Amino acid sequence: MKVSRIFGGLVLTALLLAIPWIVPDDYILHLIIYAGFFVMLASGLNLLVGYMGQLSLGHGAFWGLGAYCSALLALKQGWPFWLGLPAGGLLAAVFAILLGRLILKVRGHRFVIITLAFQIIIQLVHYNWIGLTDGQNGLAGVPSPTLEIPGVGKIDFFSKTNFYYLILVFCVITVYVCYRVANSRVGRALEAIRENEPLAESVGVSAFRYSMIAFVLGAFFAGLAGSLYAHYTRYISPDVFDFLHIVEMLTMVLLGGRATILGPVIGALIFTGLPEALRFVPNPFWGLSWAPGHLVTSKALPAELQLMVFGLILLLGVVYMPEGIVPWVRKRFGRRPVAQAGEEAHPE
Amino acid sequence: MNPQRPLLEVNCLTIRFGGLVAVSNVTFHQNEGEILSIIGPNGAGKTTIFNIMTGFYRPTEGGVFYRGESLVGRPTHAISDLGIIRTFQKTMVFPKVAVRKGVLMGLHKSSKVGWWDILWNTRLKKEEDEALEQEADRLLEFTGLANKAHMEARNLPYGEQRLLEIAVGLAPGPSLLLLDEPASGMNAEEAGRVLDLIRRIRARGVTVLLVEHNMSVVMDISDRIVVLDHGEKIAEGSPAEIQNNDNVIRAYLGEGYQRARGQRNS
Amino acid sequence: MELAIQLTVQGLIIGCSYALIAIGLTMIFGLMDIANFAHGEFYVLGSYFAFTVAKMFTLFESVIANYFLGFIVGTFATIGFGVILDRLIFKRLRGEPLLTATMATIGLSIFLANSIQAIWGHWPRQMPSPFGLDPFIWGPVVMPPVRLFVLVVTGLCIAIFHFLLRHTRLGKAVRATFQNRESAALVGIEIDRVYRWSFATGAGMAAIAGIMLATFMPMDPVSGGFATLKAFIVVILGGMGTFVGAIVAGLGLGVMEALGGGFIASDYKDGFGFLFLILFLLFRPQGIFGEE
Repeated sequence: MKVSRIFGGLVLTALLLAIPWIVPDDYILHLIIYAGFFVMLASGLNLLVGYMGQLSLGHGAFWGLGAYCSALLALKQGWPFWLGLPAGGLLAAVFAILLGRLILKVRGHRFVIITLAFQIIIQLVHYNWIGLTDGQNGLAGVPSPTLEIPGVGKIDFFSKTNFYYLILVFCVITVYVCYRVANSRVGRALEAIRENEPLAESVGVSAFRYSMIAFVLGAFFAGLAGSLYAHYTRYISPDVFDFLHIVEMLTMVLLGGRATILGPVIGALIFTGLPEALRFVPNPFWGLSWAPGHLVTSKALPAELQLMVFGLILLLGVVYMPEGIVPWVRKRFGRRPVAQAGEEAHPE
Repeated sequence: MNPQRPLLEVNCLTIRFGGLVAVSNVTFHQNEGEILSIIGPNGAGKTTIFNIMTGFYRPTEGGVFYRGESLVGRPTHAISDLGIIRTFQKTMVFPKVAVRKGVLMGLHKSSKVGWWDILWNTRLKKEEDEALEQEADRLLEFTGLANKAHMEARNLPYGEQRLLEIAVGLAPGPSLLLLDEPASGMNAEEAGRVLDLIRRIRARGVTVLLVEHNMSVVMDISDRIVVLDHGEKIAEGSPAEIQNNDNVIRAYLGEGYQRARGQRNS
Repeated sequence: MELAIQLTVQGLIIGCSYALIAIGLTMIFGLMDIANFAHGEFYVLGSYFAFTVAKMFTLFESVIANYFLGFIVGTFATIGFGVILDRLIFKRLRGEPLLTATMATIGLSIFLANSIQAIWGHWPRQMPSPFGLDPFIWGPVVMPPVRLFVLVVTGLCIAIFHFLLRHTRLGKAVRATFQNRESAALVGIEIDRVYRWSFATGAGMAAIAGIMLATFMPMDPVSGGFATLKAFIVVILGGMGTFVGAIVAGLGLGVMEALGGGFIASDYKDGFGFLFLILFLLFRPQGIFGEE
């Protein structure tokens, strides 16, 4: 292990641990926590979308399933968060296994639309099964996690600072697992399937088996993220299945850097921060007499314009920077060493 | 294992696609260690036989046996488990990854570590990674691609892409290698490299079955040749025998080749 | 039974709009191999253009004239816009891998839907209807005139489309390109022109569907997403790349949703389409009329 790497790692660790103290106010901490959920979501999604190259529009369903599972267990059965969390992850994984068996043999446009249909059906069920989910009203009052350490006392993750550390732990776990998986024969198999599926099959890679692995693993982390999300916002509604969320996740993966470990992390940070950054952009229609009334309700950029910017970035980004930001930066600014069997060029 | 029994036996193999009979009652065998070439005019059914052997197609009649075991009905990745690997007529590589990484992908089956080792990057995994690295380098050396290890496969010149294909084909450690037109589209120098490579592959103990159009390659390297025309076998023998076989000459080689070889049949 | 008939008729009307939108989507799928997630925006845009023209330029005193002025201008404006989009964006997307092209159209749809909302606001709008409210009644069927209008116009559109496809040079060029892009290019067909006209037709049909539906149902900027979704379901159920499939499946979906919504569960009405979709994709991926 090179000295510079160890040093870099220590600095990064110190930085991550110190965030709640460095950051100026609670709102920014909230944003970082939010980004944390998406780090988990995007990293898991990257396995299927980035490494294997299959577009899935259904990832949000796993997120929502995990959230609802954990929230319902806590609210209706009184389960502590620490049981609800793995339950959420496992439920999502089970759905992924069942769905995967049915659809992972399909490729191309059909796969994309099936995953979308799946997500919509799950959303419809959550809207309409009022007995279970209370429909549109959502579930409120989801308890925040608490941890009893004998001898030390009780830690409540209600405060943003405490929750930050909780989400940090899970982000690290998620990214670590994805890193290990990507730098093993599993990762190589996924990329082989993406690059040339018949050739991959002929060297012994079972496309079905490995796509299942990517799909289920991604779903599991999405489920965990969902549970954490539910216990953080303490309220969950079927809006979690909104199409826009999955588009955000995909954008983070594709524009952050597909088939890299750092890509989804950077993507999550950038695209969680983007709406906030856009808030500082002044409303160009402010003060214009001919502007439509609904656009000039505040001095900040209206929501419609923010989303227009997002849509445009997505459109231009996938066309002009198809590999994503991280590979682009790497190509421009460094000659990365040879990709070894057990080590992807990983700047951390 | 019966030492007299051929490594590969193709018996009365027939396949019909609708009304079209692509392969009709073809029988031949190949012994371990020999280089066998299948030749014939376009559409003779050569690649179709490869496709049947590797499980892409199911024959209508007949069978294929490898070391006595039937191949018919097995899925592709199971056949590759038996030690039969093929290359393709159309260049098949992993285009956007580096040459070396592509070979590592070919080494997929050599990786035996389980989830625990992957997750914790145990010593077992590190050792396996090291071994895979070395094997990849060896394969690159063997096929002459060592200096192009970090190039993206799609940026390689055509001839070297074909060599890469062979390198990836060798990675799973086949005992029978099916090469589909390895020298197609190559100039004399590139074809020479392929020829040399095939010889070295045989020296390693791998049995090679070729489909090829390039006559000088075929005549140069084959121990035996099987000739197909319109899905039927019309001749079988050593290169010398095939060159003098009337049926073959009529169907395929043509007078031009005879003249070039200085053998004119009046 | 009477309810069933009434629901069927109602479903047919909605199905007409599905069919029209799906024809356009089929063209883009079949010709460019792109899953255009932004297609539904033409549906919305058409109605908004039409609405603006009909309301703003009250050139004529009569509602009828304003309506049809809006209808025509709205349709052509959307077609023009579609051609611009084709030139600017879809030209660039042809040949890109599925992941890129699909995500690009999703980005485009977000951009367009929000642009529409930015310009016109999020309130639902409806076209001022020149049609009377007295319904025609045939036996068990109760049909307000506007819905009859939808049927007639849809029929006309399909007939004209069919005629253009079968009996004009451009139509033949489209069919040839549909079958085999490379061969078509080889025989000298200007592929770009084929694409442009096909895109225009698709946009136009979607616009017409939107304007007609907006005459008796409120339309808002987010309707585009639903329209796109339904169009995808129709295209896949009918068989990707077959126009007959798009029409039959479009009408069929409309009827199924109406019947399912009326007899089984109205909340899950939209879900039927998706359920059928999944079933078809798994067990008969080529759709009703497709070949594989």
